[in-house]
Amino acid sequence: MNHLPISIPIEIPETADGLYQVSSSVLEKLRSYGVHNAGLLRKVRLVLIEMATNFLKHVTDARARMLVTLDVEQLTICKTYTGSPLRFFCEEAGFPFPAGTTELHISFGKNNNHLIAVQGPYSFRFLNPLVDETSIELLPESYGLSIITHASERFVYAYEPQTHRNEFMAVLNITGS
Amino acid sequence: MNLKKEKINDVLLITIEEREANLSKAESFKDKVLQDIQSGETQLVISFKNVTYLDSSFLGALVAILKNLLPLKGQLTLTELNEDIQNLFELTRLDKVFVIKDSPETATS
Repeated sequence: MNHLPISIPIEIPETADGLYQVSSSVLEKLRSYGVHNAGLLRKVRLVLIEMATNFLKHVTDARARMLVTLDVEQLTICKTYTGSPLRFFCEEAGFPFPAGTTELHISFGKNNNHLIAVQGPYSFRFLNPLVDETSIELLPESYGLSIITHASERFVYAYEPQTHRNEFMAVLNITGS
Repeated sequence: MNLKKEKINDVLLITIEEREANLSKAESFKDKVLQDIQSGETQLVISFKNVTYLDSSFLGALVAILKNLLPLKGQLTLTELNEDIQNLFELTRLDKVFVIKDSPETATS
């Protein structure tokens, strides 16, 4: 694996109907670079499709990009675009997060709640979806962010206010997956 | 969204005739099944035997259908999930919420 790291740009199709084929092409390339762990490849497909689906639903920036990078110990799937920062609801704090803020409960809509770890004024890591499993009525109807959080080792969002650059990055460990 | 529907006793067996159950089809699928529920069908079995991949949008549609059945004391059973789809239900812990059976025969009995 001394040829690493390698980067695989993702071409997002116009509709979700092409995403499975796109993910299959990425998995084939990863196999050609020696990644054969079926569990890891399954998680890569999940993250790719959910990130790209979110892309199709929300991103209008023509310069938006998705990139898969394979390195010796980690695989990252990154989505970047220019625009407004991610919108969420939080009673305790918002962007820019005050210094000293550690963990917060945030919401992206009805029952779509997450625990996050603040990493900087405009950056956080998704820790855990907060699902009330005591009632079907309280179940979320949005699972994209939850799937990426569960499928990856680390899922981070960051925003740069000077350039308006948004970045979602999921990291998966190559070993031990 | 192509669906095949078959009535077996009191149960409506809905077979999804698409390979990808995704964002493009989730809303149409939900609308069609909600119409069936409005028409009086409350015992539903959904077969995924033709489905290769299911995304978060479709999961959301299934949860919405389940919520609609709840006040009617209906039942929603999922069947013929491939390994990837089964894994997705386990990852999101929705395998604890939905009734999942191996075959339509056990699902409709």
